[in-house]
Amino acid sequence: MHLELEQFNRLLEDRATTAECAAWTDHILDCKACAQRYKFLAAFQASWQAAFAAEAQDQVIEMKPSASRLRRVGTWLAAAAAIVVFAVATWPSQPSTTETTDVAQHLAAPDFQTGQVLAMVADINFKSAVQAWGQETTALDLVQIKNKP
Amino acid sequence: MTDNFEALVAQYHRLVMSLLYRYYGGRLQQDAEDVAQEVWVKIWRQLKKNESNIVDPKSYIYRTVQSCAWDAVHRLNQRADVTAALPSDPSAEATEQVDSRDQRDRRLAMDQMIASLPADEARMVRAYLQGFNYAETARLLGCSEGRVRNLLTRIKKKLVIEGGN
Repeated sequence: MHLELEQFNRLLEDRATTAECAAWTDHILDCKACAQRYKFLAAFQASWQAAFAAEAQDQVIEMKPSASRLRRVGTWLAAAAAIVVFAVATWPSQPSTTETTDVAQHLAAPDFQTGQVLAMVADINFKSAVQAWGQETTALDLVQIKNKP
Repeated sequence: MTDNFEALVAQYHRLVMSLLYRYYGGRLQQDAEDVAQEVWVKIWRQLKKNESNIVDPKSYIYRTVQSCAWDAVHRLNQRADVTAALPSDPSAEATEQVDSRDQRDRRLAMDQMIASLPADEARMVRAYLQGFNYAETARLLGCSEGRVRNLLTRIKKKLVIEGGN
């Protein structure tokens, strides 16, 4: 008697008991037809599993573009965020001034002569030179300087 | 239901055909179309009876393809048996008888040698003689391919030393 399809399936899917497994294996090893059937059924099962493994692999590959798309969107978002941060950081802190008087008007009608300007410059220079006088040059400062080792 | 069936056919028909073409060493190549048709008819009937019967379509298709292919191979074997039963050339039969006697003697000697081996090793040799490769033997006997390879190499050496070939 040859083995039935269900017996082969139980053997191939490890659903047989130890005793059944031993008996059927012995039969397969003795019977040429059953040995051949077992081989083809095992090959058939392997092909089927391989086909579904390949299908699953294809699904993973199909998933990949969406993941890369997400990565790309993330990159763009990060770039946009960086631009916003840069723009905020470099935004002028002082408010922009608006000219209330026309510059050309000043140039056209100067209020003072060149000599007066020079005198004003000299005055400003003098004042800035004199401004620091007295600072760190008090009697106390002098004493401290003197006492320094 | 029709949509479900069409989706199954669209998804699995190519796979079913490729499996049938390869099944049993390509013996079903001629009948692959018919067997595939039989598979889909069976699935259609099952869906028609009760759609919820097919919980896992993948597994159901596998079983259906397997049973249809199994039946198809049986039909082929029966046809082959009928052809073989036809009377053949008597001189060829005489040569075959001489060959078979010689083969029987060799087989007896081999059986005696196999009987002297431990049970595990004897099974491996029997599998080898049945034309199982290492992977198939490992699967059938539930051990690793490496173990099969090692043991068979060792057994072959042992048998050669004891006078077999």
